[in-house]
Amino acid sequence: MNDLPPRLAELLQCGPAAPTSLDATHRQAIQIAARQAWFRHRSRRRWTMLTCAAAAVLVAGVAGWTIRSLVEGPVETSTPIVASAPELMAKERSDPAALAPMAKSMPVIADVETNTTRAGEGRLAEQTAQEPAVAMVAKPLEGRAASEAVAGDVPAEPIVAARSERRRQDAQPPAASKATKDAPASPPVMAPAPTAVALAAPAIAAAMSDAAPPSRVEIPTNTPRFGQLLAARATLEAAERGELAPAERNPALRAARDLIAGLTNPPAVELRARLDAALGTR
Amino acid sequence: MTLLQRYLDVGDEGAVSTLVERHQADLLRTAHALLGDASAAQDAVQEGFVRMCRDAADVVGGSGGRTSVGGWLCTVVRNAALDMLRRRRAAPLPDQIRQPTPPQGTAVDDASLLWAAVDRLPDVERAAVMLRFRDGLAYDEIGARLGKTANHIGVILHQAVTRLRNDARLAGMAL
Repeated sequence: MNDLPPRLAELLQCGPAAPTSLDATHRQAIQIAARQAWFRHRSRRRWTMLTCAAAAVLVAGVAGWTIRSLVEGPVETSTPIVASAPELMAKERSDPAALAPMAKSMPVIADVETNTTRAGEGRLAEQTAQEPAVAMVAKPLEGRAASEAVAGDVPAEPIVAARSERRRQDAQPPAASKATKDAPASPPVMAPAPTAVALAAPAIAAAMSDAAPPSRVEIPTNTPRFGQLLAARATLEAAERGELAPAERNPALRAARDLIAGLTNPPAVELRARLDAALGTR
Repeated sequence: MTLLQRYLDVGDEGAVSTLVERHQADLLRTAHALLGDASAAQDAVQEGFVRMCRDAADVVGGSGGRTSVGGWLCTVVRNAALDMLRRRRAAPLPDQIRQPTPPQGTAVDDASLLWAAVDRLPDVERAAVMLRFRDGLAYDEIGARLGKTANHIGVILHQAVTRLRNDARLAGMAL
């Protein structure tokens, strides 16, 4: 650059001057842009924070639910009134005393209070002769009933025996019941509704014969006994129409009341009240 | 970087004003050297500051927080000026608008001829000549503003002066 002609160097040094500062318009534009950019930046930061917070809550919820599922297992949605026949048999073999509370708590035998162990065993024998599936379940329970009868610490009331007793009661006309043995005539009885044992027996048999995984059988706890209701109602109406002899009227009415003694559904309650009124006890 | 961080944190516009005061002269000189037009240079510098406000988070967080605001602004303004030059080439301005102001205190004829020759130089050579002979910057300072090395700036200046000398000789200037 030393060989630059002095005249050219002088002319070049006196070139057009550059502006040294922005004018007011440009400054104002920069200020407005700065304000807008900062508001946009703050808004973006808020949205980012909200999104992160929502994602964190979601992740925490999913994690909590997963941990709860792993720790507590599946949530029970129904009351534990189901029974599995293979489970019962295995438990019976290993620990007979452990079934006593279960037998006590089962609501299906709550309305059967008059059976004795001996009578239950007798009826169980009849039942097992008729239904092989019931026999498979009943055999270990018979042994349990005998052992508990000897021990005397728990009510010797086998589950299957109680159910067979109920079936027998359902099948019997009111005139054949214990309270009305001496009654000469009785009103006609309709076919009883299928009981819980009858409903559950095929499923239990299928579960045991196929060696499938334990299938759970739902046992309804409040099956309406239409046959008993109709029989009791027929007895009451016959008594009200005067078709029953005076000597057999009250025994027949008492038998009808005993027939529906364990039922708690509203028609049974109403019929029981009418029977009591007819007997003059209330 | 502290000023820009303060602007980001609390929206302090005073920090932006301070940054404008600190860097505007240098940026205007560079943009004017490239564009040769005061208004266009101010537009380019304004564009650089607006982009600084818009991308402040990236500038602060870029390169682990070691980014120089001055260097970043210089790059942005230079690119904005080069974009303007490309647009200008696509749609040329009238000659009376592009004609640089004649320098004061010199013979009008020689100055007009010389600056017309400078105006015909390629963009980078023109900018290097203006930054070197008008503003008196060193090679490395010119290189920092134009994104070149100091050696490269020396080569560019040599070529530019050779062109100017030939033009002046052809124009019959008394050099």
